[in-house]
Amino acid sequence: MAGDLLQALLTLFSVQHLIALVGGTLLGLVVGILPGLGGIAALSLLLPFIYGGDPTVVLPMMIGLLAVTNTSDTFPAVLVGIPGTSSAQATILDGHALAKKGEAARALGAAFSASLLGGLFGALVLTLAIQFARPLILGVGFGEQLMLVVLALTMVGMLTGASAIKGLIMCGMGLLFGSMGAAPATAEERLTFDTIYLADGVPLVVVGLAMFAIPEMVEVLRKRVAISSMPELGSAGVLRGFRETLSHKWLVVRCSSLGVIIGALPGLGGSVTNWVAYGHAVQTARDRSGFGRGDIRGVIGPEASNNADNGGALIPTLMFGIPGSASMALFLGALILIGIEPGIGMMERHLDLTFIIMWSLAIANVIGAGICLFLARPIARLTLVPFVLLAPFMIVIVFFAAFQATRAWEDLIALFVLGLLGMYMKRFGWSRPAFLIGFVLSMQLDASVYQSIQVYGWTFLERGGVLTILALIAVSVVVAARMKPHREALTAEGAHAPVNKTPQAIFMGLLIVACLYTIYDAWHLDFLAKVFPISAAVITLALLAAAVAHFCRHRPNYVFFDSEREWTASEKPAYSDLHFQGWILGLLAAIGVFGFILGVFVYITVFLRLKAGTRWHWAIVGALGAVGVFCLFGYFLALSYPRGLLQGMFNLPWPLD
Amino acid sequence: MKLQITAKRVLMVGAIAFSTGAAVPALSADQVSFAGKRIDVIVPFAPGGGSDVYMRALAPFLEKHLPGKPTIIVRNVPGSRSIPGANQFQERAKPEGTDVMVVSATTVASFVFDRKKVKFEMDKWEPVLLSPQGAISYASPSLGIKSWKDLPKLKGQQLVFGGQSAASGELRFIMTLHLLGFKTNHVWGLNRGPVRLAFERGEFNVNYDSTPGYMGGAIKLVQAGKAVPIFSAGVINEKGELARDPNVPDLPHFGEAYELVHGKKPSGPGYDAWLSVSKMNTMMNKGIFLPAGTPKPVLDAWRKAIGDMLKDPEFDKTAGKVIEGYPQFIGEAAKPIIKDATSFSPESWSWLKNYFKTEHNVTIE
Repeated sequence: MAGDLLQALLTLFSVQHLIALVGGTLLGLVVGILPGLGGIAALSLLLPFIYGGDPTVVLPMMIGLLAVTNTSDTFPAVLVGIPGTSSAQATILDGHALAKKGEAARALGAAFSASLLGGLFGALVLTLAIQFARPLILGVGFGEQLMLVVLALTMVGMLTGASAIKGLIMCGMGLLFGSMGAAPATAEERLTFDTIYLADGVPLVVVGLAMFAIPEMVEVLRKRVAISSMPELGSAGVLRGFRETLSHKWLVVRCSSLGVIIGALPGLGGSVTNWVAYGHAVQTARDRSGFGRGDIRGVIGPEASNNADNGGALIPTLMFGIPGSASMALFLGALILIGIEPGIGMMERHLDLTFIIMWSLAIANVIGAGICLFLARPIARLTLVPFVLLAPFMIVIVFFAAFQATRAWEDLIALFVLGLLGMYMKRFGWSRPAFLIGFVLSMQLDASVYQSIQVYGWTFLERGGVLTILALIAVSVVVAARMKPHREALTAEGAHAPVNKTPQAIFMGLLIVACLYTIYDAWHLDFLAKVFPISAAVITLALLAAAVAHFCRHRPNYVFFDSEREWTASEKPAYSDLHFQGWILGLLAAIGVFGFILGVFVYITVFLRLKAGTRWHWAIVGALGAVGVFCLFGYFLALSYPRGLLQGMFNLPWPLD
Repeated sequence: MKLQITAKRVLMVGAIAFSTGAAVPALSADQVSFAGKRIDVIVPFAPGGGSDVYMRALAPFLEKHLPGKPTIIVRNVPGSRSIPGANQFQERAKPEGTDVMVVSATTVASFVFDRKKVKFEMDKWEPVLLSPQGAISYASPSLGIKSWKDLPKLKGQQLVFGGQSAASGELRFIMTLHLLGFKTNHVWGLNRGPVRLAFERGEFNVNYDSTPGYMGGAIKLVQAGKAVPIFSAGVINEKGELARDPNVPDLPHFGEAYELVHGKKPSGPGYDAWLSVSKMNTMMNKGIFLPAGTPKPVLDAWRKAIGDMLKDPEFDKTAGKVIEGYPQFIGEAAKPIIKDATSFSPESWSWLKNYFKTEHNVTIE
């Protein structure tokens, strides 16, 4: 056993294997940085080349690629507030807040070192688990899965923002929004307005970008010159971040464990891991006042967990032949193509390869985090660049990312509409993380309630595993209820004052309409299809009624919030937020007319010239650079881009088609 | 019929095409070349699924055997039971042999059962290859069975089965349970992987897997005494009759299982409906199509490439396992199967309609 383990390590350190591993890792880093592309895109690129390849060479390459996308996705999350993959969403809350304070390098340092430790932890657990995880995984039935979903849902309690009621309402709205698409029990369609696009609901990538990236970009464009409010990067650099991770070693261990467990167990997915870890970091902190405004623990927790998640997800993939995540599904397909049949008996049949997978995972994490740490400080300087120069590129990247979700025009429209929603949620203090958690867990919750009862009746509540998790849920709820969120004092003139209530009233009115419409929409469905959305809508409406009651009282309280009131008349930005939403709409229009490649060229040129005041020729050079990169990616990753009216009328040559 | 291509002849062909305004010159298959071209293949599922692996496994061999050695680009357009991907193909594909569609049992089911949203005319597309894939059902020994011979013992017991939804690739299996007269509790909203895990946990006591899935996974459960294979979905042979699955020749097919349980040969509108569904789910499990109106020489070039690929010894060694020992149907040979799979007799359609309504509360039109 130990001999095999060592043998696998020695195999990996021969030149050919090491090149494959490093190559895979580098590719993984690149696709991780680019929002919208993750391990799946890169792995499908590799598939044609892995045929008939020697498994000991092909496996390190694939594992290297999958291991580090969750490392490098932190760059856009911290620097610009754009989630590089959906498992970097929670990192934005504190990571990006740190970047705004000029401490991007510190945040990245902490994030990458946490990723490194989390990844190594995941690899270690995988090595041990492969011996005895089988009964554990088989112990998690439908009832336990349901309880895990509920436990994850209680993390919302940590993320409600200043007003607990508003946070819970947003979670409810997330549940409703997530119920869009085919009902798990009957496959009847809910809230799809008879469209094909909505039949699967709006993709998570699009929702994540709309909730975080769009509002963030609009805010920075309006209020600041650069992302960082400091003219120089603080002296608090990468090394300090590294040291902070080490000093929070137990947080790293706990969040890595969470990552491994969630990754390995059926029922939840990688997109939930980072939120649970974030919630856990807040729950277990004594002083919670800094979370959301740049607490380093809010970076360390999710980053440790999302890299550990890979090790966890490999456990069911290798032991049962059942993928623990979407990218693992593709990995599984690839394994079968090179003649490895994972599943029961994998350890006996392919012990050597199993060990190669484990070592590759560990080494790739070291290489990936090492490269990122090395690059952190230079790349962090981006936060000092005037944002108008970056903005057109970022907007284009966000739209590119959204389009990769299902490659339909509707992705772009959904991004824009939800981006508008996200912007007002931010402005009026409605928790976006709470919405996102509700959204991610919605289908799971609906399906696991139905499946548990269908299989067990109510007796599932008598199972030991269910009762254990139920106890954890109780603890989590108590902690959440006792939490006092950090919030500024109520003043007659501040952001929580009942002044200019109309816009807030309209927003709240829309939420009420959405709940009512959900009930109307579900009414004619089969009982099994409608019980979930209608229950969620009724509870949300009750909470909304409570919020309305607060709203009607004419004195400051936390239900009121308008960030527009956070500054005085003299500081007020020159442009409204709708001005920049207009510019974002401009990109949609440009793509709609010219198609993606030409549209992007026109858009970036015009934006740089008119908004940033660059000279025409420099604007054109910038736009050509972006177009060049998109063409390159389009060619090598075989991506397709949105088409416009122009492409409908004329047959254009690549890449303009 | 090899043609001698001379410069003069090519010029003449070009001139005729030009003067008559024909879009495609009348070439023979030998003159078709995809040199320097990119072939765009739509896979209407996410990467990693069965259809995706199927196409990606075939792609390098198609590149090798298609004239001119083109590059094949696999494009995943996932979602909504493959309707958007197929609709996109219908809308955009040019009949030049460079736009290709991969179809699975799910696509066919959408085409048949979801008329309202379907904008594609699959029955008009030109098949180049159909790859059947069988299925093997197994039950838990906790039901008191030791081999398929004990099948009649399942009668009256409560079976629990998990799957995606009634009107999907699962149909060929749930219908068999119904036709055998077994009492089944269906639990929907689950993919195949989690279902097998739940079977292993003992939450479900009856299940099926596609043959490759069975060979790779569930067979280990059988060896460990945790599952008993009960019957296969069978395949339709050249005579149009149901026959045993060539991969598990010792296991009875559904028709035999029916006889074992009911004591008579299967017949009637229910069984006819199942045969159509079986063609839909089993015989059309995976397929490669070109758009309607593709000129014959292009079709011939594709079909020849497929034939060469299947004969390639390299193919057998590596990618061959994705087609797993089933007869492959090339070109015209596939058409009768497609016709049967997509059209039902009025009696079997109304039987199916009633089955969906009463058993699953699902309305089909």
